[in-house]
Amino acid sequence: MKLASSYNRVNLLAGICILLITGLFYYRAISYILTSQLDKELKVEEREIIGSVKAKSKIPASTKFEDQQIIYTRTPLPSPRLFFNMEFDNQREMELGRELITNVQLQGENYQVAIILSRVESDDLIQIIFLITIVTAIVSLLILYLLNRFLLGKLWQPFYSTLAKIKNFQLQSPDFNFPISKIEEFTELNQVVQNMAARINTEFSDLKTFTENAAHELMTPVAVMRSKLDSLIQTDKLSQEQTELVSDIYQSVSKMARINHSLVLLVKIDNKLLQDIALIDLEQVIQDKLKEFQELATTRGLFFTINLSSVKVTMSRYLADILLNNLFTNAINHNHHGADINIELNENYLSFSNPALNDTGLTEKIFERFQKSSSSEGTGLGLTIVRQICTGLGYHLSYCFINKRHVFKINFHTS
Amino acid sequence: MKILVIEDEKGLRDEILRYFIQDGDICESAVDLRSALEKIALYKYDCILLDLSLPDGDGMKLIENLRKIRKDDGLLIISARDSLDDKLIGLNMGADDYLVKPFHLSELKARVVAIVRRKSFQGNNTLDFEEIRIDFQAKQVTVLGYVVALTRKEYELLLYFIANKAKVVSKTAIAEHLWGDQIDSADSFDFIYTHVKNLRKKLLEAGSSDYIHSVYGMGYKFSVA
Repeated sequence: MKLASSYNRVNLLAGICILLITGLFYYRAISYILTSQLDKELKVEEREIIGSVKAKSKIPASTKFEDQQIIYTRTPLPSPRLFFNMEFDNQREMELGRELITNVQLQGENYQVAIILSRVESDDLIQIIFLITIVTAIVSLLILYLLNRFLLGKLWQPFYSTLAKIKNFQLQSPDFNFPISKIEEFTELNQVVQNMAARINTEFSDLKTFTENAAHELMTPVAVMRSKLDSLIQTDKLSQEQTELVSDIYQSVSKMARINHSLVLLVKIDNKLLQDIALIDLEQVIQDKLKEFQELATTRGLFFTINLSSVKVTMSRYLADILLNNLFTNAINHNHHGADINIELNENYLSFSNPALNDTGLTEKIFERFQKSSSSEGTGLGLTIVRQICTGLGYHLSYCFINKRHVFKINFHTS
Repeated sequence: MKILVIEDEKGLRDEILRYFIQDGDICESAVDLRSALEKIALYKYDCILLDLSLPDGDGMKLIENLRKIRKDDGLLIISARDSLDDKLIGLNMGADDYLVKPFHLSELKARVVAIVRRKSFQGNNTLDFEEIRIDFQAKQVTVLGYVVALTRKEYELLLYFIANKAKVVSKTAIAEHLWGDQIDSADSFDFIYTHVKNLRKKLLEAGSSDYIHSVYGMGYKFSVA
């Protein structure tokens, strides 16, 4: 719910409640005042009747006017004096009235007197007053609502512009300044956000520097080792035994370089340090890769079956390259001689599948670091890198074993 | 070739110098930015090998200075920084190539030879090794005038061998040269064997002597003797 509508909702509810309660009280108060006014009139009438009976020593005849009726009845015992609301017949229709029952004595006889005054006029008055009040209240509520809406929009403007800035926040963009707001809270908020952004940027660049330094510091000794080995193999005096030893060291150094390279790459992916984002035509990239890997595949007697449609994704060009390299390499290395590699690409998913040598009982564990088959010469990081790339993009990578085939599938839509 | 090696890591610098000097190239070295700047101000080189992280500054500064003085010195960046940014910045500033550490000396040599060849190209863009002639324009190899039909990989392999003539070139280095990061090098030794075998066969059939010698357990050596 938006701030303004939430605020307005509370405001309106409170307004309506107050209106109802005060309306009720107001109605009761007016109606009480008007009733006591009627009662006073009734008492005046009563006094006049009693006075007139005493003066004339006779009971006047009952009168029935449209808005006032006086009825005399002879009763053996005096009935209690009583005011109450009732309806009476004004000779045309039934009408609301207020009645006073009282007694008058004449020559030892008791007469009950019922005085009825019409309540219609006072009731009309109540209604008009009530209506005017209600209308005024509703109009003022409406004005309040509109005013709030307008004011809120204007008052919170700095907040929304801050929010928009945060939404568009990009790492290492130097321009992250806010206009000065007159309201203290917003100025404070902007200050905090600005500091936070500055800190994020600093930490980001620290991390980036560290990653690169780590790579550098490790790569340099490896580079020295490798160059020394390159020189060592130039010497002619190596015995067969020595050659084998040197060859093994050579392999290990190469592997070390690759592992280090992969680990550094993983750090970069995890921290989203690769920012050569572009709109990439996956179909085209796969076609290019097919050409590159054709030779490797042919040497192993492998052939590709493809079913590609045009799909464009937004991602780092470098990572797209690595992602496909790893999937291709994986499919080529863990395959039968003479088997096929099936590649499917459509707007929902990209999948690589190839016949399995045997059911290795693999699960999603395959994507964990350094998880690899005993026969594999790889670093055990290739599929981890694939997974991390997918995670970073919000894609879902899955592995399953169907019809004696390894199937790697990347779903572009996670939901 | 006259080469300047700017590298602060002694172990690496020594091996690079040794590798190039053995081939009869004239090599000089600098260990920091200051001495490197002095050297490029005084002398002209066919190719400069530059490490970006130097103790007294960023190697990028040197590229800037060099391109102000001369345009035609070859420049190869050798760096442990393998971020794309660095590569692009380096190449945009006027470096001719970018090689990420750790590299094989044979790869370094091949790249330097390629840069120098491109820079010194004067109409006659061919290379002769005994009776083998390579025409870079046409990407064509002839032996005693007969055209040898090579695949792209075989062609690259031959160039790599000739750039590292009389040196033992490891199988790992060849694999990484031909396939880059695409495959784990150990897996690709079969392919290398096939390619080398085919290349040798084609050259021999065209009438060339046998220059490709297998070095047990290590790799190959391309040499006259």
